[in-house]
Amino acid sequence: MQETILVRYGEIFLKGRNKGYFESVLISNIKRALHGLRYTFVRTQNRYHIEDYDAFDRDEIVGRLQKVFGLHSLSVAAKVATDYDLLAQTVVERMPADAKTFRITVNRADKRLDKNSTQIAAMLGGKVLEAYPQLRVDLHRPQAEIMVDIRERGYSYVFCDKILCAQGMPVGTSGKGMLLLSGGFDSPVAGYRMARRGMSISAIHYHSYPHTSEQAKQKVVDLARTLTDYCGEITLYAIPFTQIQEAIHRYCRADFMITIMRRIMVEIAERVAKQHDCGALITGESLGQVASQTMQSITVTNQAVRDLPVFRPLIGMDKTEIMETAQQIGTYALSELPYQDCCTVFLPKNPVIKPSLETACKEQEKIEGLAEMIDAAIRDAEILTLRPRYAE
Amino acid sequence: MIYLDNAATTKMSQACAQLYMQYAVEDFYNPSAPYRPALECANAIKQARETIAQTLGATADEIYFTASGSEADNIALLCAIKAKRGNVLIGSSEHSAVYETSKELERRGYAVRYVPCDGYGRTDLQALRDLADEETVLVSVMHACNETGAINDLDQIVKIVRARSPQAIVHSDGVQAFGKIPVRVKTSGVDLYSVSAHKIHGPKGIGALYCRKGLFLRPFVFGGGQEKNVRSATENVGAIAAFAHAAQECAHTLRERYRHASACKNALIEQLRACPIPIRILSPEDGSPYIVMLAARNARGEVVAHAMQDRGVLIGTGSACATHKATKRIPSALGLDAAWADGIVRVSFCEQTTLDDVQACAQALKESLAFTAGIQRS
Repeated sequence: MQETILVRYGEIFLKGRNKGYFESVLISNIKRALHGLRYTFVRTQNRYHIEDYDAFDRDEIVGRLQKVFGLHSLSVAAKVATDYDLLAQTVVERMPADAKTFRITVNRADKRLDKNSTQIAAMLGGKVLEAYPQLRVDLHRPQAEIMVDIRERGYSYVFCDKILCAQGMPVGTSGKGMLLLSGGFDSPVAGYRMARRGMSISAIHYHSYPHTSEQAKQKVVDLARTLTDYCGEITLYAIPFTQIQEAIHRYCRADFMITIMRRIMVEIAERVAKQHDCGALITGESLGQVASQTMQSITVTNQAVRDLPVFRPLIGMDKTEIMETAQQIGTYALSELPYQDCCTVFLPKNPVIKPSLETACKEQEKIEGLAEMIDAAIRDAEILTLRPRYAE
Repeated sequence: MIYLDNAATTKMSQACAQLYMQYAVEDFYNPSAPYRPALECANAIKQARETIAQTLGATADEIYFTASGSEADNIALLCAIKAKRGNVLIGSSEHSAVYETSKELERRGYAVRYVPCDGYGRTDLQALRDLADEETVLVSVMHACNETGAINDLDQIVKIVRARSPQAIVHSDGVQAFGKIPVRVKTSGVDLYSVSAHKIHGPKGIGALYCRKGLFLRPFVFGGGQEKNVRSATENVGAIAAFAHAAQECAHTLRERYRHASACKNALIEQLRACPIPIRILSPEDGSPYIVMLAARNARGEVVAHAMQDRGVLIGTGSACATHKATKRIPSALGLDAAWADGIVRVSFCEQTTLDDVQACAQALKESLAFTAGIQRS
């Protein structure tokens, strides 16, 4: 008996004439995710098979494939010759020990067999009942469902569980976005969400050493690296923001500091995004979460972006929902680390909640030499290319 | 780079590193195994236990090796109390290894009382007298404060506790005192005393707990019965041997090291007198000479430390073990108000620190403090 991993894809199933393009991106993403592992990739109609892998690598392969956007689900299956006795033996072996009720579902592509699907299922079910007399058949709500997929060319797949994958669209099919990545809970989730819709992700981070620590920057690198498990390679632009932040602190009204800081951040992000072929900015804003994320604040910040659309996938999400996703994708524990980031140093006691655009612009104009400082920050950006740990 | 954060950890000495490696790659045997090389490892542990005992003024059977000073504190607080209920007295500037364990005692039903300290972190003995009563089952007060270097008078503390609370066990966290100031557990009369290797040029991951003969410790780690069943686990022979070596080195040169550290401390404080930015020295003159803690007004300690790094000097911001949690427990115990509480930094020496290092540190501190003062928060 051979083991194989059946991989099913999701939404791109619905694509029409472009399906070939989406599939080719998906397949190259799958192959990139399985970098460094030995396996054979087999493509059949509407699904893929990962075969000939080392049994020790199975969990690793499953874990990596679960993070490939565009895949719907996968199953670890036994690949056996289509022989009734052999199939029966395999089905009996695969029956979960804790099940009380079961059903067998047979899908028969090989029409040359002497029995139809229902007959085969009944025959195999009978064998199961012989082996485990305490089990009962339940066709409607079984605790265990064993699926037997009888293919042409004389072999079949037998499997029990469908393991859900990350769904969405293959990364790389929806252009590239520049994610404003802080050290908090929200922005990594925002990046994840957009990657799930097929965007390749670049990220930009602002650090204010010595007001923020090197650990705070490292935390962002680690966050971006965690995202690479889903998004593939991420280029991270680490922008030195100290000078600008000190200048805002020096020249501008305290209650407008955060507003102006965010305006400058998106301005820089847009410039870097354009330089590096990103077609959109991505932020982790969630309406009303903090003073800088009220509708009025977002309006004033947004006005500093000239051309690119700003995607805010979390805009309508609650903090709890965001935290749940952060837990699920593995960024929660990192985001939780208590290092200060740019947004938390020089924090005024009462940041303005409903800033007016006019005042914000007037305050921002007070900063002497801002344009030069922005140029310098972009010029001095540290550029890091991050890949999943297994690809290094 | 000048390293002046020796209260956080120290560089392992060459001799310790060699011993550590020897037991990692050559004499790597499990000390409990039934062959001769293993017996030699067991003998090395025996020898080390005697050395540690000697440096503390105890006997070998009173020494339990642990995985760290923090673990020794945990065992002391969690495994020695016999009474099912009662109250526990804890110094208010204790290291988090003691403070957080006292929270666990609270969860287990003991009443925990915090003994206030003065502005230098010295436990208030009158308050201790007032708080200790017949229901007190354990008292834990650190020997040398890891934040300020303040030294608590253990003899006095034990006397007060014995007079007020006959059934109480007295523990002291000696991690910042051991190998730096004289420690005689029998003279002071403490029941339990925690020490650690990596603060005295030994390896990380090894500490010890002194437990007075006759005092029973319940198991902390269950398993094969090592460390008299208190802390089962295959012994970390290399770390134990290196620890003993480091302790012996310190014991032999205690006076010289003390004098040298005093010279460093005095020089730093002297040079900071001319500091243009308002600062407060939080370390008492009669405290450990190895530690100088100071606070700058309206600054953030972390930013000062970064600015110091940029000037080639590595210093701490207080207990490095607590940086995983944002806490203001220690500043508030020291009675610092909000303007000073965030601006704490700690400079700590070792015998390798030179007076030139201290001078460079003082200069860098002045510059760093001036830098942070220029961008003070509103």
